[in-house]
Amino acid sequence: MSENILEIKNLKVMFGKSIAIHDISLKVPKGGIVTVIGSNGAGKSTTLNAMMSIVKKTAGTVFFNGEDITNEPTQNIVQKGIALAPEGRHLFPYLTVQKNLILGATQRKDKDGIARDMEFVFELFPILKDRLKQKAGTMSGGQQQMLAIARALMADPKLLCLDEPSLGLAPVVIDDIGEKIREINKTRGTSILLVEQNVHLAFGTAQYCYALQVGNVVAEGTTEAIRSDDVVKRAYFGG
Amino acid sequence: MKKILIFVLAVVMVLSLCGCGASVDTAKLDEILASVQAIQATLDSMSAAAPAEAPAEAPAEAPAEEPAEEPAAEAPADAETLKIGLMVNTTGWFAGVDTPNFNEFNAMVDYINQNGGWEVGGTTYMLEPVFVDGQSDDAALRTAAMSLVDAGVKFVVETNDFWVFKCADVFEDEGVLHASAYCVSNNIPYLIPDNPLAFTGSNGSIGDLQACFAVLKEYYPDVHTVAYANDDNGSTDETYALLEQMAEENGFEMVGQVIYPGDTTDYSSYAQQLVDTGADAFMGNGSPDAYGAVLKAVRSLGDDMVMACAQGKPVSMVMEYAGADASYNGFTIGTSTRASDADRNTDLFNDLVAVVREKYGDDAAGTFDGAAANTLYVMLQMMQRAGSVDPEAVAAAWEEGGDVDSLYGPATIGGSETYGSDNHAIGHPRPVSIMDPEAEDGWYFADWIQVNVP
Amino acid sequence: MNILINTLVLGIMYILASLGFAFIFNMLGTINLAHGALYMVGAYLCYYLCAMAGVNQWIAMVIAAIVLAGVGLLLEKVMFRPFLTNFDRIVMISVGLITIGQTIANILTGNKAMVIPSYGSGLTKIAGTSISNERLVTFGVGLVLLLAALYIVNYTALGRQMEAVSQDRLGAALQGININRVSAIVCAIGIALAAVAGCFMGAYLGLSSNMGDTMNLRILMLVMLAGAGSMNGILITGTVMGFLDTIFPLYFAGNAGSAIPIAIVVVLLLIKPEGFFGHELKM
Repeated sequence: MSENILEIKNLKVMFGKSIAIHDISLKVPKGGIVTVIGSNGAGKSTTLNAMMSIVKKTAGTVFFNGEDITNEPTQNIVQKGIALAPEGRHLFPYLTVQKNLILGATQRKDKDGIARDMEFVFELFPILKDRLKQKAGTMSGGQQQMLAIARALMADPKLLCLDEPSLGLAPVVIDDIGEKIREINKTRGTSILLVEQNVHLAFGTAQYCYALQVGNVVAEGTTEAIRSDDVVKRAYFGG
Repeated sequence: MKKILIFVLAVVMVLSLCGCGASVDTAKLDEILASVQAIQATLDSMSAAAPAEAPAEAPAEAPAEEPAEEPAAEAPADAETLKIGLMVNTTGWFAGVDTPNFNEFNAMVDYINQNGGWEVGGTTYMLEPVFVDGQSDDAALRTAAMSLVDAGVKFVVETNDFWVFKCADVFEDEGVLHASAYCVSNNIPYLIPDNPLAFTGSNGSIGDLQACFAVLKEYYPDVHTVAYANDDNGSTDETYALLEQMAEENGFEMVGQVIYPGDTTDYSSYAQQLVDTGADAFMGNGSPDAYGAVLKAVRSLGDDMVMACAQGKPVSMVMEYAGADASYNGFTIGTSTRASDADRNTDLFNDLVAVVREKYGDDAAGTFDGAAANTLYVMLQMMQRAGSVDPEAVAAAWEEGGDVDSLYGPATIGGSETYGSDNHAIGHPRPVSIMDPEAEDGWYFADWIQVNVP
Repeated sequence: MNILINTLVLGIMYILASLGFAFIFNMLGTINLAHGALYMVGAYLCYYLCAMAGVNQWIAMVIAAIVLAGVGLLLEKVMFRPFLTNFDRIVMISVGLITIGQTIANILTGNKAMVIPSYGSGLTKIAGTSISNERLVTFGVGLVLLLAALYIVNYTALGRQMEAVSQDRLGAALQGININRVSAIVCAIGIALAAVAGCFMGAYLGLSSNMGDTMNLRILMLVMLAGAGSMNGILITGTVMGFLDTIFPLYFAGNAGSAIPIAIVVVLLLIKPEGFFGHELKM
């Protein structure tokens, strides 16, 4: 239990009368990269949103670092060390890159730490340093995605969650982001939970994989295993 | 349904936002409020969140919006009842002006009934007031007028002419004699030969301007030039032409007019224009809040010009709005209901003030003007003169002219030249209240001044 | 010269009246239709404290501001928060509030003059013309409050969080910002500002049951002209409104002098409905 930074057990989420998530359980080991794949409507984003208390959980528990955070409000969860770069990015379009980044560190009080992390983020994504005073809404899709990830990093999270970072990006940009994700994990030891529709990015970065379909986990295993799994193959590769 | 409701709300909001001096249509909003409340009840049950409700507090002096009470006096055995209609706006934006009319009319009715009723041609009548609220809305006013006719009322005291000229036909067609409590009647077709049964028991705003000239002559010998300051009521040019004539007759000179909008938030520019005319005094029929603000703005510019306010409201009201610093060098033709000034008023006036005070409180008594009561009083005297309660006969008696008694002292019937109708108005004395920082409360009652309205 | 002074003074007075509305509009993303009504409530409350309880008008203003800040918190919780995505309901509740407020005001406004005691007395001579100290005090307080509001928005963490909340609620929540707390603070400040403005205008012009309406129009126009998300912009549009309302009465008598500035603003809004400084002008 204590080697996992995150444990979601039997999560169930309903929107009104319809069931979005039937029963999902997953774990993220400390320092690991785990990915959740599945097609549209499988319940991937909902899982993340429920975990962050953005949407209400109907049933199930969430343990973070051994602590039960099932009923904590969003701002507390962030404060405990989970950051989410959501689907669609949700940047502050009329604020500068700089202000967006500073806001990522809202819950933090350590000025030096924040400054250091700013530097780290600039090294990771040099383009952000170049466009420090540019309004976030005027940047390209790829740049915005980088800013979203950078902003999440500014919270100095122990667990970084990324919801479909590849959406709307060109393949070469997606590769770049995959590289950066691996770098974050390697240099800072940040655990990563990556929700992705793009299996190329998912398999390229993660060690362990959960495959979702219609609100359920239909397969899980190491990346190698999943890649060759028949169930997954049929679902995603039509084979 | 919701979409229609939203559309109606939007229209109402736009209309209210564009209100040219008029406020939101209360009648429409009442309907909408009812719908809102119905929807609100549904929302409450759905979301268990109750909207904040402001506490409803009505102070003691708010007038009742129902027909006035029946007289409690003893009626002589052969007494008959005479219905007198009262049609004024006790709700809506004009309520501030008409509420005193409501109070004073009912006080008069009570007073007369308590003193044995009113005798006409050998029969004693107990007055039966029939009240309808115009709601400060033309459509509602017309409906109110029609309901009075349906109730069999033959005599009506009504609100200002600019309201009632639009529904005058309702009364004219049914032979109902109707008298406006207060008349501007410049180019407003109320007091015209086409309306043979339309009268007023007031000097009207023209008569009050005449009074102002009389006051200036007697109390302000240093004033020679006058500027006209008024809100934009649509007939300011005509009034100004009349003023030029009146000024010349009285030995003054009109040197300009400054007309402000009914709904402005700042009077500085208007005060500047007034000061720029170089006049010794400014005069007009502005309301106490507007004139107070103008006075305040004029004094802020360091100018001492005299304020001649032709409004029958107590000068203390203007002083409230102008502030103590600005309250000097000016007067209104307002009454005094201070005990110390009681000996300057007629007995009837003082008696009525007492009735209003008892029935409606000190605040109501403090702003006693008497317009509606006086119109009723004159109407009743005309009935006596005609010896009949037939509207046509009373109208004929009224048109014969001559002297008549008023709340304010001896008066004369008039109005043919001033308003273009044959003796349908009167010229009664006007009080003069002068601002003086050294007097008690900052003002003193100067005198009653005789006014002729030819 | 007179024109310049009056423009500035009137402009700041308008800005003061709009600050609360602008705050809520820009930071919460909602049009607070009930602003004029609440401004009126603030004025009436202050008046009754002064007239009935003999409280000093400055203290009464502070009390009114605090009470209305509380009302702001309540409104945020029961009106804005549950219905933020449902504009229909906000409109309905606002109109309900307005009607209640207007009706009560109609009842309370009787025969007598209701004026809050002045916030300043005497005159000051400036550059060949004189101006009442009452207007100077209002100008001073208005300016201070405006600068404080701009400072908060542009240079403090709270202001940054307010901007974040107004631009992307989900994004803001995910950065650990307490959305409800920030919204509540915005509402409290906004409506307290309305109360303060009501008190000053209640002293300057006196109370009336439609005092909210007249101001509401100018407030709405001023903020719309500035554009969504621009607190800085209202500094300019407020001054412009002050200028229009100073100049036009000098050349157009009566209702025209009041209506033409409105017409001009309407035309400007037709040209650029999103306002002139929305999200463009940053200091």
